[in-house]
Amino acid sequence: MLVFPVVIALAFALRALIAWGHSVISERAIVRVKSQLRAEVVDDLLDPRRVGPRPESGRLVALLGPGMDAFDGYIGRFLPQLALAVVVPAMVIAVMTYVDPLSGLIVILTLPLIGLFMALVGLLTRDKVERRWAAMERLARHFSEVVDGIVVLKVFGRRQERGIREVGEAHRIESMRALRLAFLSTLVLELIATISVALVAVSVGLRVVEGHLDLNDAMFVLLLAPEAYLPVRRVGTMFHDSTEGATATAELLDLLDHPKHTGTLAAPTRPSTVRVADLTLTHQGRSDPSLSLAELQIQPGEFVAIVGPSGSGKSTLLDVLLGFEAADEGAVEVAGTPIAELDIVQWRESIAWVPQTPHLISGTIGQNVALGHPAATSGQISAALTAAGLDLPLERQVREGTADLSAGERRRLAIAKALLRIEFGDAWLVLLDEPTAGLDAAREAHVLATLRATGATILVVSHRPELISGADRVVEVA
Amino acid sequence: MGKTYSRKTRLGFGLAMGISAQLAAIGLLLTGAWLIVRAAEQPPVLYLMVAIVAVRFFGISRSVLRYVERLATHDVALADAVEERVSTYVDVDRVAPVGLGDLRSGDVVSRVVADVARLPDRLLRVRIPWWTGVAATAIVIGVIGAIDGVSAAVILVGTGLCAFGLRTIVSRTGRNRGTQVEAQGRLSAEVTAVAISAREIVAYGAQGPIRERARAATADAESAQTSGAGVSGLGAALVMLVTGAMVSVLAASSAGIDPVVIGVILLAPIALAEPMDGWAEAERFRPLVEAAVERLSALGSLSSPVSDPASPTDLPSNYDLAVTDLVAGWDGQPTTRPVSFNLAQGGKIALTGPSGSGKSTMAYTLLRLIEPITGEMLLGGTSTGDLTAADVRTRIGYLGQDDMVFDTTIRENLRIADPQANDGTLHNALRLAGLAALTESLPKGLDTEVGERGGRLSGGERQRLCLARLLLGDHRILVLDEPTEHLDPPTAEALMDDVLALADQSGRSLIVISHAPMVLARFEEVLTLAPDSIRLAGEHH
Repeated sequence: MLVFPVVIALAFALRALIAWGHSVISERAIVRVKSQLRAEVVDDLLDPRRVGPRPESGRLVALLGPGMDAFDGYIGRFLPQLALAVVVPAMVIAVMTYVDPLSGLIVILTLPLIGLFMALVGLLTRDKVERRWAAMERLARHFSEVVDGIVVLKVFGRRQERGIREVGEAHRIESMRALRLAFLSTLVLELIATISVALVAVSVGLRVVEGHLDLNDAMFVLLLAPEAYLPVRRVGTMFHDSTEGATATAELLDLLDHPKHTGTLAAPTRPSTVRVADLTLTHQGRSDPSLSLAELQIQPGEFVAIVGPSGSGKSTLLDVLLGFEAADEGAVEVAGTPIAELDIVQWRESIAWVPQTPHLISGTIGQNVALGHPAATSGQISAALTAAGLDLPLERQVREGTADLSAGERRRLAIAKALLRIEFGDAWLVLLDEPTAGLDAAREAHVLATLRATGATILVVSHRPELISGADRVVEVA
Repeated sequence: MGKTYSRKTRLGFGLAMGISAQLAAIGLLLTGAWLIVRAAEQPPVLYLMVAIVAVRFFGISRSVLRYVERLATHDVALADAVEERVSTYVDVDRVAPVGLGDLRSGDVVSRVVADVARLPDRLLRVRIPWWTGVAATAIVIGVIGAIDGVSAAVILVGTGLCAFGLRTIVSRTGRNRGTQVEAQGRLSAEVTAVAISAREIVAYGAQGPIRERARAATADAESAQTSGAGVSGLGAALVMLVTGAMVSVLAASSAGIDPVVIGVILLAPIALAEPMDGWAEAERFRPLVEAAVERLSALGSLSSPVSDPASPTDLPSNYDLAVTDLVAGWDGQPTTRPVSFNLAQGGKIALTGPSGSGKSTMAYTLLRLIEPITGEMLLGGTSTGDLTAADVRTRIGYLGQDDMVFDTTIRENLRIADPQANDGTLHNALRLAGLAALTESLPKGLDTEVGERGGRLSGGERQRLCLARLLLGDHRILVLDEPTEHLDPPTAEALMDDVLALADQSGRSLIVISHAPMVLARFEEVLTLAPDSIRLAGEHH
């Protein structure tokens, strides 16, 4: 008599063990998939062959945070459940049919209804989930803008409670819309399953009363019947997890989908002629080209200044030379070879670039300066900093972005970074975008003299008369 | 319909529905069992009718109740999240831009987006499953107690042990979920940083080490999650073990009871597995939710860089500015020498000094974004310490060197300064800032999107858009930090002409920070912030 309780306890223990094993394995799988995807996004951001604008950071935070959580539901639960939903009902039906063919038949006839209904729901929810996800992204972007622009908002006394509440409220409404449908679909699925089980129960019950069916068999069938519907119902309830996960996946693939450099030719390692001809580039959303340049030739060792009214595409020209943007039309060549055909990584080794708004990476000042030449000694780094007119301790920690140093300091740090790369690296072409903005006249003269003394080929974009007057040649873009 | 009832009512309603749904699910299984066992005794069908109706009723009501519960509770939880997000913003606004300490901007955004998104789970996935599960279990134990005391005691002990085990063992071993949330925050910060400076990193061929760093953050997040994997399914396994133990103990202890009742009692633990599974799931989520709550409250406990007086004085309409021995600096460290000047209404002064002499820090101090280290500022004769910082900023406006341009249209960027401004006013401001030609050339005009951080505009266009924005504001004293950077000489000259004329026309005072000789030449009074000498250039003439 004691055998029965022991068998029951053992059976449950075995089931507990298997369930636990299942959860450990699936969780580990999700973790691996997620970190692979994250690594892929980072790799893509840092892919030297990437061409085109970089993705917005708010979008990235939403995708890598809550977007990745959606994968938990999709990969970790939905997909395994989908497999269970195919295997388990088949087994249950086989056993039930063996014990009581009529009950088996009822399950076989009702189960497809659930599948049919789920397909219908899928078509309906898709659009709602996408809109919910869009609302989530809007929210992330809005907040990241508010954080970045907090000084401006404070200056104008524009507190953003209302905006944040409105965007949040929009997200809530989209969420409730998606959830209402998801919950409704669960409701209908459960009703179908319940009615199906009730059909089995009533038919079994009546046959027991009439004495056509043994009590043990009846109990067995009754307990087994819900198990046939359970995995399928679970798939239904997890469906909204899955659509969110699928939306995030699509979003991720969209992010990774952009043109790439394919060139493989070796870039010249010694100073060569850079030639640009009949170049035009029109940014998205503009009717006039952002850059239009008929002819520009830079000989090795030359110091050329590019001038033109604000907005004439001077910075864009540097982006094209660096291979970050592709021109719509025209030729961009180094030593007669189009940049697009060069190995872009190798080509950039020839360039020291000082962007208009330099950013820091989190780390020490020394690490920031030695970014392009990590082998530099601290003596070389200090020398570069001094040459750029900046006196900061190499060990000082800075955070990324623009917060920790003033605009002028960041520019001088970027100049130090460029100097290090020219003097100790392979760079022979210097691209400077408003390099001395934020510097006083004495420091500016000093920086210019240092740059000229390196003998590198210099292309500078500037408004500064001092810089322009020091140039060998001034080219105007309109 | 949700809006007409209070949060409490809606939550109470949701809970009642949740408890009822659980009872219906339990009732379904138990009446089903009773029906079959009773049927085996082959009574007239009529005796079974009540049970048959009950099975159908429980079956349908379970699904409907569950649907209503989920709608009601999700609505409450999502509305809570909206409020929570606003209050997090208030926290950030209180301390930003200088009081965020070591928090990186990607991390702040991740807190507000991801952590707040996780907050509804506290109610939906932790509290509600416990509350409804405990209530439903208690009711079932009570009902069984009325039939057979011993069995009720066995079930009480079993479910009690399960609850205890889940709360202590599983919840404690799951603490490292907190590390997961931390790791996630670091990862967001790292990826945001990479996204912002990707071009510079790639241009300098440094993608290798930076990628390694991002990889390390990814690996941290991964290992935190992997070590949590063993715990995640532990709760569900415990529930199943306890259920099995209860069934086997009940099977051994219930010999001699009416078989119809035994059928019901033996199935009770299996029916109660549903609320217990709810608890296990709740404990799986608890550490994640708690870590998110902790991170958000950490944001709330940062101290403010500027404190407002308890009973602020009304803002005087006069805007004479008198600065006496003002020293600006960060974290108690002075970066400027003491500065003194008087700026009468409509007056003009320039501040200059070598790079790094704290000109921008002085601007932040004038705007009361940071407290002065020492010294005093009188605005219209009232010490700025007696005014609220927000009031001071309605008088003193600022144009920085890399001011934020928002990822929206030109129109909306301008309207930050004046939400009521009509197109004529906006065009006029753009014309004054020298941007008229741009908006005329754009097919969409004022409705042109400027991109993230104004990325679709050139540096000069961005600067002038910010200037146009400042001109639209109501400020009486304008602090312009290097206003002519990024501008070509003719445009810069024209801009300074316009700014000075505009200040004269509107009676605004001007404080211009610059080292461009062309700019300084236009001011009679030039104050040097040089570390060791403060002098009024005008005095020496």
